[in-house]
Amino acid sequence: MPATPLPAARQISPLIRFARWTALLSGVVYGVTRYNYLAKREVGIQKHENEIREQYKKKKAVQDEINMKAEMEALGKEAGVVPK
Amino acid sequence: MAKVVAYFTRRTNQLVQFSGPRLATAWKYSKAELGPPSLKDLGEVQNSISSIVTSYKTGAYRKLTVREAWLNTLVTAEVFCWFIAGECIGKGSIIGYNIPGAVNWDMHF
Repeated sequence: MPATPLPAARQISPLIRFARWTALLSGVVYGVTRYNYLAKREVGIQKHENEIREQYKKKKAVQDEINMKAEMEALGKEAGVVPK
Repeated sequence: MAKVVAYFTRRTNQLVQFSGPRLATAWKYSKAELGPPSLKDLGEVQNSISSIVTSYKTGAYRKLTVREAWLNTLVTAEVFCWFIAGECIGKGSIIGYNIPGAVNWDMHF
């Protein structure tokens, strides 16, 4: 393929290049700082949510006991076994 | 095994030969068009900013054609998108802030 000479590089106004690079770098800084801020907040939120999860687990365990007892009694009635 | 090695070395050499000059021209154009402004250009940047400010103060911006105003809007939108791109780089993800413990990307049925 014969090489046709490529046109010269376009002159992009310095204001546009300055604005692009400023936006890119300030965006990086903003992303990093916002991530750190949210991560710091998340520590307290996770602590709170872990407490709620513990309480829910306890409640669920109690309810599971009740359900299991009821199911076993129903099964026993069907099988004709007298519960102790 | 030797044939496989020979094949891959030949292909790598072809790739390098093909891409070398093309990458060089791409780099040359990128440096000229996308590179940051040099210290000399910062004076021009200041002049451009002050001319924009004066055109706002004197009301001369109302004399712009719709085409020019539209192009300015597009350029502003592009600069804003560069800010978003920088934010994605800074937070380390494209879609959201992946704080460990706070995100759950699993499917919930």
